[in-house]
Amino acid sequence: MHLERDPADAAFREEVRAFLRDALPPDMAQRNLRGFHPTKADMQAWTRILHARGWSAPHWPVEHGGTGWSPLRRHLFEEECFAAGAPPTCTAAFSLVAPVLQRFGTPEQQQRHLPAILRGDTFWGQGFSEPNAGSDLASLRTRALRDGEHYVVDGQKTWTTEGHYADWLFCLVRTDTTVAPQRGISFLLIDARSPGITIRPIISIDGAHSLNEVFFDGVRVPVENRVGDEGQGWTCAKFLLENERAFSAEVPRNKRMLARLKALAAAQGLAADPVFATRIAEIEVELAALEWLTLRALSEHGSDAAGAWPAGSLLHVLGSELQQKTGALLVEALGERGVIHYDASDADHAAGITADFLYRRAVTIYGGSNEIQRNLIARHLLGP
Amino acid sequence: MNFALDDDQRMLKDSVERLVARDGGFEQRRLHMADGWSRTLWARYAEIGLLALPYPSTHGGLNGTAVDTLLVFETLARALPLEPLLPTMVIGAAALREASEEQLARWVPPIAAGELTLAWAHGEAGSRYRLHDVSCRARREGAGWVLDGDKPLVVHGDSADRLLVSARVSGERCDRDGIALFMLDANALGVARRGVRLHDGRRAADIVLEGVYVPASDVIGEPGKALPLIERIAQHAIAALAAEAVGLMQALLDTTVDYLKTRQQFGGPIGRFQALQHRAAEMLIALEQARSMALYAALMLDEPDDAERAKALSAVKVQIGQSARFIGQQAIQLHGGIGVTDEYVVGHWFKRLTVMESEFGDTDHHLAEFSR
Amino acid sequence: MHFALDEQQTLLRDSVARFVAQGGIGAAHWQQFADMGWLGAGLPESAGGYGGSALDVAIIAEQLGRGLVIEPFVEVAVLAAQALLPLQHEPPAAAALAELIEGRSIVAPALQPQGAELSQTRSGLRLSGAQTLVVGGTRADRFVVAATEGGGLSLLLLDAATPGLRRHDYRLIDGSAACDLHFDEMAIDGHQRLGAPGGAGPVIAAAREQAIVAQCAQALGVMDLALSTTRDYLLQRRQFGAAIASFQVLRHRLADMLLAQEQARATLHGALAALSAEDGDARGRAVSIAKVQSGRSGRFVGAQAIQLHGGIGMTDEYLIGHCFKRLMVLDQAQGSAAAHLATLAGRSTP
Repeated sequence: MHLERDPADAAFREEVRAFLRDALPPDMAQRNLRGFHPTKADMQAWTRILHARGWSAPHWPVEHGGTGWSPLRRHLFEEECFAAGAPPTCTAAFSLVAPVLQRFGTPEQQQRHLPAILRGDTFWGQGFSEPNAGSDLASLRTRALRDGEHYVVDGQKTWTTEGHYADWLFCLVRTDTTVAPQRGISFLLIDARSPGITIRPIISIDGAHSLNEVFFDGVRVPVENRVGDEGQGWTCAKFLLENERAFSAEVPRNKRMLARLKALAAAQGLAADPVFATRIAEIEVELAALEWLTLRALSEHGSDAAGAWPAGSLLHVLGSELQQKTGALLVEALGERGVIHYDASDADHAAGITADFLYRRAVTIYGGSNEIQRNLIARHLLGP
Repeated sequence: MNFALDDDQRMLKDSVERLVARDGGFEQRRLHMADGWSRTLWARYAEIGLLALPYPSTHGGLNGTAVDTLLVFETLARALPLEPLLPTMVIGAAALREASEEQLARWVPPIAAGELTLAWAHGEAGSRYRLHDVSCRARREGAGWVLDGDKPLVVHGDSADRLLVSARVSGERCDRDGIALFMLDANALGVARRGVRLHDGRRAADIVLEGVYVPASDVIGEPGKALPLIERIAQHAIAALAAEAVGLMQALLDTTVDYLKTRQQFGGPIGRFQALQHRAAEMLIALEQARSMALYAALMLDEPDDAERAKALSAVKVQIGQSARFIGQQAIQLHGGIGVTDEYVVGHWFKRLTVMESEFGDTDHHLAEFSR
Repeated sequence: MHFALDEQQTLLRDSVARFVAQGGIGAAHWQQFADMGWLGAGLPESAGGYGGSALDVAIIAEQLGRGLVIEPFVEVAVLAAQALLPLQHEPPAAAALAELIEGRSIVAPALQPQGAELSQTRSGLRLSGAQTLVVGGTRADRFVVAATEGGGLSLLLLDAATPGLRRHDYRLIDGSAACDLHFDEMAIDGHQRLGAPGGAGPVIAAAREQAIVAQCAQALGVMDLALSTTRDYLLQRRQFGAAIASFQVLRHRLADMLLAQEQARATLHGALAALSAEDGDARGRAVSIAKVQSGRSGRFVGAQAIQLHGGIGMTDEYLIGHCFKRLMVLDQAQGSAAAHLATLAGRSTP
């Protein structure tokens, strides 16, 4: 065990900061620091800026355009981008479907999709959950019937984040109803402009449009858009869901929220209030624990030690609950003005705080609810 | 002490429940939001006597008690009324306890008839729930007063006919003496109102008063000595909010339990998972604590010892805040994804409780008050 | 940065674990500590120690915690020793340190910043007042004592047999021994005072930081014992026709215990990393953060361990109650979670 930080990593962090100072447009940063959902225009513009530097997909294998950085440096990069107010790149594309294509896709599929994702040309949406298949994803019912060189897809997906931005969707579909549920699922890439697809907005309680329902009515999907074999979809999904847990950016987001909380508390004259100062101190303690858990998970990534503790689940539970606590304190700091409904165009300094707090109710629900995560942690300790 | 409802109270509750069932639907509410709130519903409230309820019968009121008000707010809560019930019914009645005969005769009948709505314009920027923190000024002019100052975030202030405005006739910003309460005509010259929307769907206004003339007959109680009245008003408001919160929390619990019984995942209703059962049990515990405190609030409104009464109402707001936060969060969590959608009522109940947390002092403020 | 123990660290951990397992719970022997080199583990070779780091001390402390050992290892080998270390150029300190490491002398720390006062009188220096909760003091032959002098703190090295020094012994709830020291206008001569008069504040603060980190490691070991014992119990205990480990609420509670333990481990890592930092403020914050988390996690894990054991968790015979009591004592030592949280709130930087 050797816990001192490598000075070379500090130099790397400085390099990233210098890049952000030069390359991140101030108005883009301002927009994204407020707590509203990022726009497609911002996400795409930023992806292109990153791509010009070769940094749009740091976590990809180098042969596909990744940077070859250590897990720790990828984390530091993410932290700096977040802190500076850079918008995210399309998570569904870069962090969810791309690793699946890299691991299970054919060279043709990789060639067709990965460079376009890397450049920021294509946006993707995830078609996994259904109204009757949330935590119990394996019970999904969207059907894909083989018809010659196509599948015909009928069904409905829900909770598709930024589905309305998507050029492509990746979906879990049922290709075989005669076997055990997990074994009858396949992974399909579906052009979002295919005839028969209807995308319907879901307005969330923050009053904004980020989520969508996607309806499939006789949608024809070429067989070559299937990733992996028929019936291998659940394996692809498990791989993807484990990645989702690993890439959930809990520490960068929490750090940014804490920084905003401290600034707001100071502006509101609350930093001197011993009760409020104690609540902020509690957040700092939890964040320190989250950060060091993350550093440990990053340093063990890919090694045997990684299996010794349920890192992904622990980080998801702690990171999500901390986001909610910090968000609640931010709203509290606003006092009475925290109840005003601002929209994304509002210039008020408080804009976005309450909306973010409301939307973050979902963070303990999506990506595997915290109840499921606790089931997984318990299984690690007690067996099935 | 008798916790059962008497006949009158049962009838009151029934008539409110009928009103909610017929006109208080979630989708209807969405339509009403376009205009701020529904004048039709307001007329119905007047018809069944809600608006007259807490006012003295000598002037057209019904001499209702704190428990009657509690019943109304608890029963109406799940319909998430957009209308200015709290200021017109509760705050108005509390304020007018110190009104003159002439004022009662002038204002109570139109309030009871649904023709006069009120808004509470007391808090100021930076006051952070401290009731004595008033900078808005009132200077004498002829037989009346001229008011200058800002009253931000006046709930229902955008549509109110009259504003209950506090202003300082003497002293410095945080002095306990020198505050006066005015029943201002919202359409008077010099009143500027900029509307905002709140997360719970209601409307508010940032109000600026510039040289607004108020006749002496619109001053409530003795000018300069209004703080005790303002404190009482806040206590009445807290008691009503506590009742509303209990109604909301009950609705959240009921809906959550239903969902646990009906939502199927992993081959059966999710209510069979022990962790979720215990969560629902914890929600019930939190609800019952809140319910007891709401009753305590109604009781303590009549407590003659000022300090005891203030402490009691602070304790109530703390319990409500803590229970509401837990129940609201858990209700959303247990509903999974649909809890976070705008389409489903659970998120709206949650947002109302969230907004309520910062009305008339948040949990931390009242914890500090209680421990003084 | 890497988190796995290297070969030497693993050997150290395993030898402490074996020692503790052989001795049974609470039966450690001081001389054996010395013989294994553990008393000097964190002290430099120049002082007679083994040249290890705070990390080595933490490895030892964690295993002692896991063995529910209540010997005053942290108080003597870390707090007292680290207070003496910067002053080892003074012969009494050097002698005490050497004998401490060899196991021949138990030097107990009595370092509360208030309570004892050193004043110059016509008949010389006099020590008055008291130091309380001196863990390790009942078997000590020497004490390092903090006393206010002028506007600062002085450090004294006192022989236990010095006239005027009264001891009142008692036990803490975890069975460990502690005492109060009363100083009845004790005559003190110059060479009993170490370092400059009134100048011991920084030395004591630095020693306390090291001790806190070691306490956190010790608490982590106790938590680990509580957690693994509870896990085993859940798997083996049957009620309602099933192992109680099948009840989801209990499974989730165990998961929450792991969450709390891992948070404590993480902040300990943060404190260990910060101990070598130049920035005193950052170091102090990281140490306080670790102590807050350790106290909170410890109380939660300890209390839930009892809860999940049901009735037998409440018996004195069974080890779980002892884990809880030890964790409570460790929370209070060197400032509780609440105290350190207040410190963090006070010096919160924007």
